Amino acid sequence: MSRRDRVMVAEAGLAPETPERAAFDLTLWFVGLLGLTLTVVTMAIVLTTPGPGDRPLIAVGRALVIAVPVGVGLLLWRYRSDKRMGQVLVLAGCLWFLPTLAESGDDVIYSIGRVGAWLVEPALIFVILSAPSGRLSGRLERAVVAASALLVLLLFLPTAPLVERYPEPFPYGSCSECPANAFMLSAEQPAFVDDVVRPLRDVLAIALYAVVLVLLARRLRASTYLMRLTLAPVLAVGLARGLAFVTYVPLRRADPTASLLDAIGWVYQLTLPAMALAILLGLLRSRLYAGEALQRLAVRLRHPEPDEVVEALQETMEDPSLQLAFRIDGRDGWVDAAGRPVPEPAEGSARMLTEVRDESGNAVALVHDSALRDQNDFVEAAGSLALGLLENQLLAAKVEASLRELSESRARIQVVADNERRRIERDLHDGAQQRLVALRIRLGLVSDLMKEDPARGAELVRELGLEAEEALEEVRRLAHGVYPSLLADQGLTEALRALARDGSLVSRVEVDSVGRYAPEIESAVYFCCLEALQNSTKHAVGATSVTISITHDDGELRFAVVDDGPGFEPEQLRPGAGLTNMRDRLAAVGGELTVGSQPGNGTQVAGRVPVGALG
Amino acid sequence: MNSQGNDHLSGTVGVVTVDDQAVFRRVAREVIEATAGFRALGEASCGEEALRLADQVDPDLVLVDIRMPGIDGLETTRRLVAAHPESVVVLISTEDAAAIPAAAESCGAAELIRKEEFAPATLQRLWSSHGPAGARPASSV
Repeated sequence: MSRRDRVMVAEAGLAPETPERAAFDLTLWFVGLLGLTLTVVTMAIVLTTPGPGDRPLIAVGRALVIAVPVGVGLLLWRYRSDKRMGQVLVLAGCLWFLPTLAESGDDVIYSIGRVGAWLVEPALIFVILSAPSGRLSGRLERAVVAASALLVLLLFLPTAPLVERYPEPFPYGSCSECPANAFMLSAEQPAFVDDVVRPLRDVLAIALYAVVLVLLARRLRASTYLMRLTLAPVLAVGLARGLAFVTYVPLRRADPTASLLDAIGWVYQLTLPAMALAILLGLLRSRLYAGEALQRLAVRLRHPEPDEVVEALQETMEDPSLQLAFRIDGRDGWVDAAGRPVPEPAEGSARMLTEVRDESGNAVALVHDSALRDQNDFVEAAGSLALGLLENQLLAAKVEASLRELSESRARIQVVADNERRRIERDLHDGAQQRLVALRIRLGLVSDLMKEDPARGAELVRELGLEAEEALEEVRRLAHGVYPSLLADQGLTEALRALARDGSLVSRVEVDSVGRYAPEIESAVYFCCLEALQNSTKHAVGATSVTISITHDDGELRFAVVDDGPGFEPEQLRPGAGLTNMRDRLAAVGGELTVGSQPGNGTQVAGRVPVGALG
Repeated sequence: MNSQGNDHLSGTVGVVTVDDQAVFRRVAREVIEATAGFRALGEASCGEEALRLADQVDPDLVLVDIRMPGIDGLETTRRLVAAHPESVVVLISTEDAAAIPAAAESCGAAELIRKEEFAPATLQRLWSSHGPAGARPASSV
C-alpha cells in the first residue's frame, strides 16, 4: 500500500464549481452518448434476431445491463468527489456490450459475444470487490481478481479455437439453436476439453465465487455502522450473483433443459445493473446517515471543551481509536492536544490519516480506521468542523498571547519611565542642586568678605558668576536629556541633525519629506535614533561613520541608523535593555523595529511608524 | 583631650565634614576655614570613611549629610555618637522638612541644619549651643 493510501489530504472549504468541471462535462456527455449508442445497438441486435421468448422484453433486459451501470456510473462520476467508482461502473457497463452480441444469429458476432463474456467476468468481480469506492482494499482482493483473470486466460480463452460450440444454455443469450463457434480452428473438438478443462474450470470458477462471497462477508463484519449502510445492498447483490453462478453451472451440467436455468440466468445477468443500483442506494443511505450524524456533531460541538471534540468525533465516526492531531506553526509533523508527537500510520496498520487544511495554512488531521477511506467525504466534513472550532481556539490563543505581550510591553514602558524619572531626580540633586547650594553658601561668604577685603571679594564674585553658569549648563543639559528643546520646537529633522553634529562618529543625516508629527511619535523615533547612535558609538569598534536616514513614504515614517562597523552575527544578538526599550517605544505608537547585521558589513537599525498621509 | 595623638591646636574647634558630594565638601572646607576659631580636620565621602577618620582625628564637631549611599547619615550619626560621645554631630540636609525621615529626631544628632544656611555664623551658633558648657573657641590661633 503506498503512502497515498494511508494519508489523505483535503482542502476545507474548496468551492464546488472548479474550472475543471467544464471540460469534465464534455467527457461525461461523450461517455453518455457512447452508452446510449451501445444500448441502442444491443436492442437492435435482439429485435432483429429471431428467437424464442418475448423479444422486446429480452431487448429491454439486455439494454438495462448496459444502460443502468453507465447511467449510475455517470451520476457517481459527476457528483462524487472520488470519481473512481463512477468510472469503473461506466467501463463495466460499456464492456458488457460485448456479451450482448451473443444474441446475434451470426456466427462471428455470436462468437465474439461468447468470448467477450469470459473476458468481462474478471472486471465484474472487480466491481463487486471494490464497491463502493472503486478501489481494491487488500492483497486478498487483488489476488482474487488476478486469479479470475488467470483462470480466463488459461482455461477459457485457449478453448476458443478448439470447440465446436459454446456451452448452452447461457445466461446472457436467448437462442435455442445457437450459432456455431466461428473461431474454431482445429478439425474437431478434443476430448479433454469436455473431460478435463470444462469441469476443472467450472469447479475453479465456483471456488473463486465462494471466495468472493467470503471476502464480502468479512468486510461486512469489520465495518462500522455507516459502512454497513453502504455495503449491505452491494453485498446482497454480490451474494445473489455468486449464488446464481454456483447453482447455474452444476444445474446446466445436470439438466440443460431445466426451465429454472432461464430464471437463474436472468438473475445472474441482472445482477450487474442491480449492483450499480445497490452501490447508488448504499451511497445515498450513508450520505443520509452521515448528514444526520454531522448535524448532531455540529450541535454537540457548539461550545466544546478540547477533549469533547475528539470524543464527539470518535462517537460520530464509530471509531474509538480516532485521534485528532494538529500542526504547530512552522514545524513538521503532527502533535496531539497535549503537544505529544503523533506519527503517521505505519504500513499495514489498517489506520490512515486524513488531513484537512484551510487557506491560512492551519491544518488538522484525523487518524482513523482505514475502513473509513470510502467515506472520505464524511471524514473530511467532520475534520472541517473540527478545524473550524480549532481555528476559534487558535485565534483565542493568539489573542491571549497578544494581550499578554501587550501588557508586558506596557509594564516595561512604565518601569523605564519610572527609572527615567528617578534618574532625572538624581541628576538634578547631584548636579544642579548641589551647585546652587554651594553657590548660595559662597555668596554668604563673599558678602562677609566684602566688608574686610573688597578687592578679594570682587574677585570671588566673578568666580561665583562662572559657577552660576556651570550650574545653568547642567540644568540645560538635563532638560535636553529629558526632551530636547530642538525636537519640541523644530521637529525630527533639526533634532537629528543636531545629534549628528554632536556625535563623535562622523554622521550624515538624510531626510526625505519629513514634517511634524504627534509628540509621542517624534519622541519615539528620536530616542530610538539616539539609542542606536549611542550603541554604534559604544559597540561598533572601528566604525568611521554613521548615517541616519528618515523618510515619510506611503503612510509610514521610516528611519534607519546604519554604521560601517564590524557588525555581528544576527543569531548572536541577545536583546539587552536598550533594544527592548526601542522595540517597546515603537510598539507603543504602532510601529516596529528591525535590527540587521552581517559580520564585516556594519549594523542597520531600522524602524517604521504608521503616520497616515503626509502632514 | 585625646589619646590618639592628633595635633589639633588647643582652642580651635576641629570639624569633620561627611558628604558624598564633592562640591559640598569643598565649599564646607572654605566656610570652616573662613570661620575664626574653627579648623577643618578632614572630609569623608561616606559613613564608613567618616568613622575611620573620626577615630583618627577625634573631631569636636562633625557635619553629616543625611542622604548618602552605604550607611546613611542617620546610622553614621548613631555610630559616631556611640564612639565619640564628646563630639557634637550635626545633620545637614538639602531636603525640605517633609522629606526628612522621622528617625532624625532620635539618632543622637544635636541639630539638623539646611545645607544652604551653612555659613560661619552657623558654625559658631552650633558650637555655642551644643558644645561643652562654657566652652568658647579661642578668638585667635
